[in-house]
This record gives sequence, structure tokens and C-alpha cells, in this order.
Amino acid sequence: MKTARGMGIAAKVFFLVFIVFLVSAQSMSAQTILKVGVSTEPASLDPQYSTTGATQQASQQIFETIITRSQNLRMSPSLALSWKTIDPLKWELKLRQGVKFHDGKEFGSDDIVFSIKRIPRVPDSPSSYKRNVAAIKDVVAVDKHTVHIFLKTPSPALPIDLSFIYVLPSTTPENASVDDFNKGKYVNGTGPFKFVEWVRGDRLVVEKNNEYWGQKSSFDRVIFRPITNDPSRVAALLAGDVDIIDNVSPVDQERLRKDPKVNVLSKPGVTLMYIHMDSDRDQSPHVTGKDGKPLAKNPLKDPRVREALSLAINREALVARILNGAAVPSGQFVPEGMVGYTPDIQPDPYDVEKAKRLLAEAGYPAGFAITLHSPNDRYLNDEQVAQTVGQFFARIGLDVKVQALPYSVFGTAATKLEYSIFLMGFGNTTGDAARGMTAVLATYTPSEGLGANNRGRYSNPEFDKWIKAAAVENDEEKRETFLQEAARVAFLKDQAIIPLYFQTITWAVRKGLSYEPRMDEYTLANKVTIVK
Amino acid sequence: MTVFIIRRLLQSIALILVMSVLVFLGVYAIGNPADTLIAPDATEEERTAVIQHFGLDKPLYAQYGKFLSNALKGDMGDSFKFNEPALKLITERIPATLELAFAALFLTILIGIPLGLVAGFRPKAFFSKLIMGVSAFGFSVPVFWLGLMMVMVFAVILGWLPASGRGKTVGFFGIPVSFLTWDGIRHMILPAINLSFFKLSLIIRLTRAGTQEVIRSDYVKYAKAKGLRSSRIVLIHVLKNTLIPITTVLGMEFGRTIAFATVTETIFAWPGMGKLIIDSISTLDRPVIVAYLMMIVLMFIMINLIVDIIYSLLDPRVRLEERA
Repeated sequence: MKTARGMGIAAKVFFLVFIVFLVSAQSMSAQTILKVGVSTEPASLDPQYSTTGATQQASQQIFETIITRSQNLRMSPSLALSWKTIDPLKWELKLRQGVKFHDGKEFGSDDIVFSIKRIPRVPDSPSSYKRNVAAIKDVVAVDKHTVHIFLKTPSPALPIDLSFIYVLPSTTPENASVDDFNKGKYVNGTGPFKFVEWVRGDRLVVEKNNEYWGQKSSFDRVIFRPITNDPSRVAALLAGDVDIIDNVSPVDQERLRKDPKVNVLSKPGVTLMYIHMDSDRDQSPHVTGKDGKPLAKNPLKDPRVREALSLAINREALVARILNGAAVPSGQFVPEGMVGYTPDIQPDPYDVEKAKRLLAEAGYPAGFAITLHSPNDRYLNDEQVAQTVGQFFARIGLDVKVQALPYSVFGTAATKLEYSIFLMGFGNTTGDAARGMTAVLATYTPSEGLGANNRGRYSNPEFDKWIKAAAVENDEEKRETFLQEAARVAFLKDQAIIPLYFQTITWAVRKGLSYEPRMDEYTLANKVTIVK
Repeated sequence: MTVFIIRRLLQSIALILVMSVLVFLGVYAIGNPADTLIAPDATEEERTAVIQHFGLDKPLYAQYGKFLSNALKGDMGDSFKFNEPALKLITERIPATLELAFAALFLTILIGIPLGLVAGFRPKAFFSKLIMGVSAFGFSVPVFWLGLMMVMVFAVILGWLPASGRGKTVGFFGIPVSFLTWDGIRHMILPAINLSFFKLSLIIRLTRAGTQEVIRSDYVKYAKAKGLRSSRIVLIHVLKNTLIPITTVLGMEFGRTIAFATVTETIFAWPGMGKLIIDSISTLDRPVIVAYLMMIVLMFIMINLIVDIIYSLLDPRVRLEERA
């Protein structure tokens, strides 16, 4: 009896395994599958929950924003075909016709109204889209394909804001929970792919939307696999487990370029790495004389000293040696091609003599002692970059200590102004210099939303004047001029921060596939194409 | 025995309380979750709103008090990052980690004990020396290096096995498992070996040492003199007596395997708890960290309890009441 039961279980298990084989063998047939190895995974599948890149990258496959952005982050028509100001406080959007949601509902102005109004009501988000609708007073559907947006204050950045608003159908229930979304219940967009399943930590599966209005996918099904470990992601590509990977580290790039089975694709990204300095306090915690005694005045307050530090850095060498060439030197806040880029500001040359002269002029011919702080887990080779910059500073006669800490510790201390000089990064994800310069360089004024990331407390009324003017200017050309004027004050005159470089963003694909690199770092699966 | 178990469970409650205070203080000391969670370009207004929402503006004792009163109701709080219950996030990941840990344990026992016995019985044979050499290697090589090397050799160069991931899963009493599909097993081989390698070396050494000690004992000599078959001597007299320390060590190691499979899970992109905890620490997602560590404490207490019980079954001289 006992044995018979045991046999029964064994037989059942065998049968189960057999069935699984049959099913898996069947599902393999005839479908083309693209497997994407991604370095991060979304926080939620509610496209309005979190602005983090990983979450948006997932949302981008299934949903669409009102206005979309090109690979260079320039605005381009998506669900809205055109947008214009009727008066400074009123905008008109004309919508695309004949677009359908995945469940068959026809897309129209009611969905835009619903999606914009839903954002402030999405609960508990640590990085919410609220700021993208902060300027909006009301949204009105004029007819089925026309929407009017009324603003509280003139906001030339409205198209940028709209490019962050993912559109859900107006039929989405008000009380849809995060859990409902993560199980796929309301994951219903107009994008190139339909949701299939999400197993957190393991895979996100989507299938081709055959009725998509734009560029259709070359694959029937796409599987996104989060592989956080860099070498493991590369190994997965080389082993053929995945077809394309994002975020290839510089060390691996070198190796992959030599491999005939894969192609490496890169582009300068939007994240500016810079050195921030305490240019406000008379006594700064980590600046002393070489004897360890406090100085009469904080030398970093003097623009000549800041310029000297910038001239001391050999950016070309830094990029070539420490980042294996995976970066582009910079002298300003945004890379070429972006709104607010100022052609006459070039990266400072490497000039030790001039740097020493400037230090002497400022009254520090013998230098002084500083501690340079840096995160060690946040940016590409951040700790090594800080060490190298520290050595460059030592060459013009400073005593430099470098201290690298995990970002969770570093970020808290930097915000509390516990550092005097530190390495930091800022992602210009809007494709526009205004947001970054406002956050990092404008005079710290929390009530006006200025200088939120100004951890060195740089302040110049002239700079603030240009930034504030740009914030209300609707004419795009004039606005860009204002941003450029602001940049000239901060970088040519004051050396408010020391820009170092923009990291390049890199993908690797298996031979036979192609992808056009994007500044926003997203891997859009419908744009992965098969080449002969 | 019942008294012993009840007393142990009471002690564990105190331990969990102490642990929760430590973890709370620890995370508080590391940094402010607001700085890693909130988008870097958020306005001050947004920052304040988020900080207030998560209660991070309140003094630490008030935050802890709120946590404790919720925890008593079975609510460990919602993850800051995912906005889902921390316990749910963790339990979602348990099957994957447990499956891997059991596979590693299985390999350890199935390979480690027989090899250890062989090395103990024939210490001078070439094969035994080879076993001991490999186990010395197992002790000294870092887990991440071994993992990456295996990936390079078996996945990239030879192409026999997949480099990472969990593969196909099927429901087994409603729990997703991968050991029932060929694809799943293929995905499990490398991480399981990687996870078991250190333990395997440990068990080989323990078994060998135990065996060498036991075969010199009088009762084994007596059994030999009585003319018992050597298979009986090995399986009944030697093995059973060497099993006692091995059980203790395996119990502890199993706990560690579950709690700290982090490295292996990261290298092989195995969607278990270890990966979750690492990600949570880097974003200072406190509810998840606290819930996870408290669960791990509970698990260690349970494992120790079970080990003690097995111990008493293996060795009748051990009485649970006295040891408590």
C-alpha cells in the first residue's frame, strides 16, 4: 500500500514535468522573442507613480506620454499632434485621431483630462509627477480631439512637463491600488506593447500591440530581465541569454568592442558630474591652512580660487584613464544639442601655471588644505574620479584628503552642508538647462523652489535674474538666450561649480540587431530593429 | 520538551524586540531615506510633503512607537519605494530563496557527507587527498569570484548552462518553483553549486574529522571484532555518531544560506530575498530592512530550535530541558 502511494506521487510528478515540457515546447514555436537585460527594475507599473528612470523605462513600453521626446530629448508629437499658446495662461492641444487603448477603448480628450487630473491624487509616491502639473490650473476638453490647458502662471516649460505625463484611459477606477497595477489589472495604455506579466526581480513580459499607430515592434514578445550586477549582465549577453543590455560599464565596453558577436553603441548622456564648493560660509568645515589651523577666510569664496581648481583638472586625461573614454569633458551644465547649451563656453583647459598664478593672486601662494568628499556607489567610478581630482589639486600645491562614502550617507551629509568641496552629479532629464541650473545654482530660496540642490550655496543676483526671466518667457528663442546668459554668469564669470564631464550611455546588442542610443537612457523595445 | 519550546519562544520575542530597536537605530544612523528616495531635483515643497508622509519629520522614538504599535497588529509598514506592504514584498521572494537554499543544502549533504566519509576512512589514498585539496580551495575562494568564473566557463565559453535568472517556473501547490522544469533546473545548477561550495568544504572536513575520531573508538573496534559487515559499521555506528556536530553546523549554515545568499543572488540575478535586501539598503527603504531582519531573527530562532530537537533525537543523552 505504502509503496503504491509512493509510486503514485512519483508518477504524478513525472506526468507534471512531462506536461510542462509539452507546454514549453509549444510556446517556443514561431514566436519571435526579444530578451532585454536591464540594470534596474520599475518601482511600480502605475505609470504615474514614480519619476525614477527605471519605472519610466517600463512605462514607456506600454503607455505613451502626451508629448514625446526624441533620442536627443527634443519635443515631438505623440498623443498630442500639436500644441500652442492662445494666451500666456492658456494652451491648446490638438490630439491624434484613431488611437486605441489596449482594451479597445478609443483615445480622446477625456483621457488627457483624466490623466492630468489624476496625478495629484496618486498616493504615497516618493518621487511624484506633481511638479509636472504644478503650473496647471485646469484642463478642459473642448471637443473629442482638442484640449485647453489653463495655467496659474505663464509656463514655457509646459511641453516638457507634458512629456512626463503618461496617459491612462479615463475608465481607470479612481481607487485602483498599486497592487492592482502591479498585477496588470489596469495596465492599459496606447503604447507599442501590451502587458503580459510582471514577476518582481525576475521578469517583465510584454507582447506586441499590432494596432499601434507608431513604429511597431519587430518582435512578438519582449522579456525584460533585471540583472543588476554589471559583469553578470555582460555574461548574460555573451551567453546568449539576452539580446541587448543597457548600462555597459567602461571596463566591459573595452572587452565587448573586441568581441565579433556583439555591437557596442554609445552616446553622451545627460548626467553632469561636477565639483561643488562651499562658496558661502566664511568658515567651511573641511578647509584649513596646511598647518591644520583655520584660515581667516574660506578661500573657496574667491572666484579666482575656484577657477584655479578648474584649471588644475586635466579633463581629457581623467576621461581617458579613469572612465576608459566613456565620458565627454564639459564646461557647462548641459551637453551639446540641448536647450540652453552655450557654444562659447568650452571646458577649461589644463593649465597648472595659470592655476598657481590665480592662487597666488588670491593670496594663497602656498596653497591650503581641503578634504574632498565623494559618493562611492552612485556614479560611474565615482571614488576613483574623486581620487584623481584630488591629485590634480595637489599638483597646484594643495594638501588634499579624499573621503568616499556610500551615497546614503554622503547625500544626507551634503544636504546638511557638512562638506566644503565634493563630487556630485545631476541628471538633466528634461532635455533643458533650466531645471538643473535652477536647482543647483540659483540662490537657495525654498519658498520659491529655487536652489533645492544648491549644496554650496552659490548666490549671484545677476544669475537669478536671468533664470527667473527664462522661467516666464514663452518665446523659445528668447528663453534660450536667457538661459545662455545665466550660464555665462555662472561658468565664465563666477566659476560657481566645476563641471567635469558627461558620462556616455552605452548599450551592447548581439550582432544582427540594432538600436539607436537615447539621451534618456531608455531601452525602447519597439525601436530595436533586425539588421541583415 | 513542551516547557522548553515555550520558553525558547518567549526568549525569541525579547530578542526580536531588541533587534527591531537596533535596526531602527542603525538605519537612522546611516542616513535620511528622504535623500535617496526623493528625486534629486525635487522642490523643497515636494521634499517636505514626502518627509511628512513617511513620518520622517517626527522624532525617532515617535517613529519607533508607531512602528511597534502597527507591528503588533501584524503590519510591518509599507515599503517607501514600492508603496506595498514590506512583508508582502519579502514573502513574494521567499520561494526563490528557499528553493535555492534547499538545492544547496541537498548538494552539500549528498556530496559532502560521502566524500567526508571516504576521506576519513582512507586518509592516505590519492582520492582522499584530492578531496581535501578541493575542499581547501572551497574555503579560500571568494564566492563572487567562483560564481563569475563558473558563468564564464559554463555559460559564456561552453554555452551549456544559462548565465543568470530563474528560468521557467510552474505552480506547485500555488507556489512558483523552478525545480519541476528542465529549464528551471538548468538555471538552478550554477547558483546552487556556488551557494553550496563553501558549506560543502566545511561538511567534508567535519565528516572526515568525525569519522577519524569515531573509527578509533572502542565500540567500532568491537563491532569490527564481532565481524559486522563494514557497510553496517559505516552507516550505523560511524555515520550516526559523526552526524551530531554536522547537524548543528548544517542548521546554522542553512540559516545563513537563506539570510545571506545575497552575493550569489546578485551574480546570478536570482530573484530572491537577498537581492531585495541589498536594493533596500541602498535606498534606505527602512520598512523592508526592518521587516526582513526581524524575519531572519525569527528564522534563526526556529532553526536553532529544530536543530536542538533533532539533536536530542540523534543523541538520547541530550535532554532538552536541561540544556535550556
